[in-house]
Amino acid sequence: MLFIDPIFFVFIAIVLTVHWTLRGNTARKAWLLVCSHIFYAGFFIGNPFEFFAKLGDHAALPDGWWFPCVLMASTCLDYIVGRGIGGAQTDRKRRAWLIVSVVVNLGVLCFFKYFNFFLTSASGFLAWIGLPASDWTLKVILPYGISFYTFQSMSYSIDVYRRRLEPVRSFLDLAFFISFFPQLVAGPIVRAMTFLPQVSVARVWGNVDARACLVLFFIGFVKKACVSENVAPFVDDVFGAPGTFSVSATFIAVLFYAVQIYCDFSGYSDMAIATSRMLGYELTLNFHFPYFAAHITEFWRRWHISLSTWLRDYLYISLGGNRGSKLFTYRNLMLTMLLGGLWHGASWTFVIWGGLHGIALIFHREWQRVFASAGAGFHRAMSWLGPVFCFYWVCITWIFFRAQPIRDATTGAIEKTGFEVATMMLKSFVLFQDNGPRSFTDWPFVLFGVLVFMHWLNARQFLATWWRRIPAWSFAAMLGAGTAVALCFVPAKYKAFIYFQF
Amino acid sequence: MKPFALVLIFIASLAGSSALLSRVLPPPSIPQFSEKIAWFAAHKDDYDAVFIGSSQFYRGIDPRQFDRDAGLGKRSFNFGIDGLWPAESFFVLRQILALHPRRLRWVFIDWMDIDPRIDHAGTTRRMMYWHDTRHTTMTLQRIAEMPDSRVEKVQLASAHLGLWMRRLMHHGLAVESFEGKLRKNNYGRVVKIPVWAKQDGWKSGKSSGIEGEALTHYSAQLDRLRSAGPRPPMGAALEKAVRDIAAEIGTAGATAILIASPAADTRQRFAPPLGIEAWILNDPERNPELFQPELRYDNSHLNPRGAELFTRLLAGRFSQMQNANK
Repeated sequence: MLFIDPIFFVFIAIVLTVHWTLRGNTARKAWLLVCSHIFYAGFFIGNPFEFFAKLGDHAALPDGWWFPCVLMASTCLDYIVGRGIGGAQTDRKRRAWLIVSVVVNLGVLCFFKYFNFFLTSASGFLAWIGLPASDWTLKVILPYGISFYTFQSMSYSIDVYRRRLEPVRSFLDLAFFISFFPQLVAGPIVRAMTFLPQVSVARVWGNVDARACLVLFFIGFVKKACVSENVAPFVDDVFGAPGTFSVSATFIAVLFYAVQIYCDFSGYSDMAIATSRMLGYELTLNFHFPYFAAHITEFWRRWHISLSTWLRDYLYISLGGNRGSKLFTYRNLMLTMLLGGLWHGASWTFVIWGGLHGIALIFHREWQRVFASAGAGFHRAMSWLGPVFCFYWVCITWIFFRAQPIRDATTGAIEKTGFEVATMMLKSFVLFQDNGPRSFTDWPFVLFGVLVFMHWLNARQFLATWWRRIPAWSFAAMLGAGTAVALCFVPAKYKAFIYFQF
Repeated sequence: MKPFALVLIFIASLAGSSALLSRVLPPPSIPQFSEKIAWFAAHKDDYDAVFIGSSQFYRGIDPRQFDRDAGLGKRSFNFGIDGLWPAESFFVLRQILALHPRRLRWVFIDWMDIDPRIDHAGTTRRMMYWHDTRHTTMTLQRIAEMPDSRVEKVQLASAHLGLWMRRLMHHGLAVESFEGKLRKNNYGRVVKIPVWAKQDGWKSGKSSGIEGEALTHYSAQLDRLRSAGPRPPMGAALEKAVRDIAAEIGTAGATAILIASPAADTRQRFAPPLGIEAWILNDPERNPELFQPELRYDNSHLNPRGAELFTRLLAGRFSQMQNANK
């Protein structure tokens, strides 16, 4: 069930009606917990009627039907760990409890996400050094959202360990926090410290800004369904056969991928935040116009904020942060970005993506140090050129992020690895060399310009509040008209959100 | 203002805007259908007869041979489209009638049951375009008759209602023109004239016969067809749909002729309805020659040799009918 599926609107209407009809806070939390598990199970069990009809025959059940149990097991573990840390008398015992949480959570994550990756990488390495290696892999499919909820539940254990948070007494509260459906599958990664205090207080409908929620949801819907889905075919075409396209087509594909991934993920985040606000809960901001960042450090303060701050607080600082020599700090930065890349998926192209961002962050630190005393003219020039350079670099890194192996349509054998695809794309995007004769019209560049302009208007808050000043009836009418226009731009077939795969 | 009133305003605005948009937006581009209807619209006054139906018609009837063999100096067009079952085929037929083809006197309809099954691989434009109120209602009536469980019927009905709603809202209709603007035509490749355009709508299927394992399956299917017992009457939904369309064809000055094509499929066996011309050619006892495995490439489709024989039989029957009417 995607946020843009018609069935989701039926689901959320029922959820909201019952949620706000219930009086007690516990009843509401229990209701939302049940709804969250129904929402999550929907990704795995398929048609519920068919699923329950086949329940006796395990072989006929869909792959991964038991994944909601992994979510519940992760919740139970962190509940026990939290209680364990809270009740431990010595620091040693507290640390032991934390290690249990980290090892088990990361163990489960690594198994699902990286088992085959390490196996194939190891066999590739053995083959490379001339040792015999089999191609044995295990059929492991990735549960949606595991990277997100694992990080959330770990943040709870770590914060309890760091004495920033009291361990929760109610299992319901923790289960509700970890499985809260708007952010369960693709974030934002909400910290226990941010969310749990909200859980203990009954929400009040009077505090919900319904108009703002509807506007935010609508914007998220348009980003995902109307923009991301419509630029995706161009990206797929070029990344699917990079050897046949010209420089201009490669530029369109890379620029459109930057648009696609931003609109896809920030659209999801907008809809998640809006849905959550309708239920009375506040989630963390996840994007803040990242492509207008003046430099790469600022980009990471604006892009996937919940992940970047998580990595900063729980990984970078745990590694020592900048409490040492310059080289020590750079090592920590690089490690954080490499692991951040690996978090996205089991592929070397993600590691390279993280590495390139690590290099850029280190470069930017050095740049700031070297040019700290440069004149005002220089800084003014950089304030104009910085966003362009930064965006270009981010686009280069997106090439690695998007590059996937090209397979033979009939045999499934890999014709080009993801790295080879990325190399061909880079040849066009950086060295301006044609890979082939195919191209698009010039209209995509115009469209890109229009999208940038609209994004700029939004960033400058030109569209921020006018809808608050109009009467309720005209707001409803405009939302109806806007929805009618938006639906014309939703393709008949659409894909799941990109970040679901992570 | 009360929330209920605001919801009503939202819905009214949504519906009103959709109605306005229907005047602005281009018609959807549907594989095979859009090309054929555009071509037919340009040549609508050239034809006396139209064959409308699924790939059984599309691959199985050569209109030029039909015209030659009938020997009546008439011209016919094959409006067969792969997978065109009722209710979609009736929608397509109504689009043809809406063009008011002046010479049209005979409409040959591939006589199949209404197929309410939905391919769950994903929604396509083709699934949506024919879901107007009339043809969605027709499908819902057929679903109500089905022997499936109530749960399955509700699921199927809600899927069709969803498609009806999407069509009403012009779901994705702007995407196509938008995409066409951004792309070059097939990246500069020359777009060929379809084969069917040179053959009055016909395109032959594979030339091979049924062999090997497929032959075993075909023989079993044929045995089932032989032992299926007497032909049941059409279901109420199909009967109503057929009578309605026959009446509309009559109003347009033409005659509807139902044709049960030679397919080894028990779902296409009905007793002829009263008052409508119906030709049964899917009986392996009465027309065994059409069921020879070497004349077809699968259970439902005739190969070019089979199509030649089928067309000849149809032309002979048409000629007889015309002579009898003189």
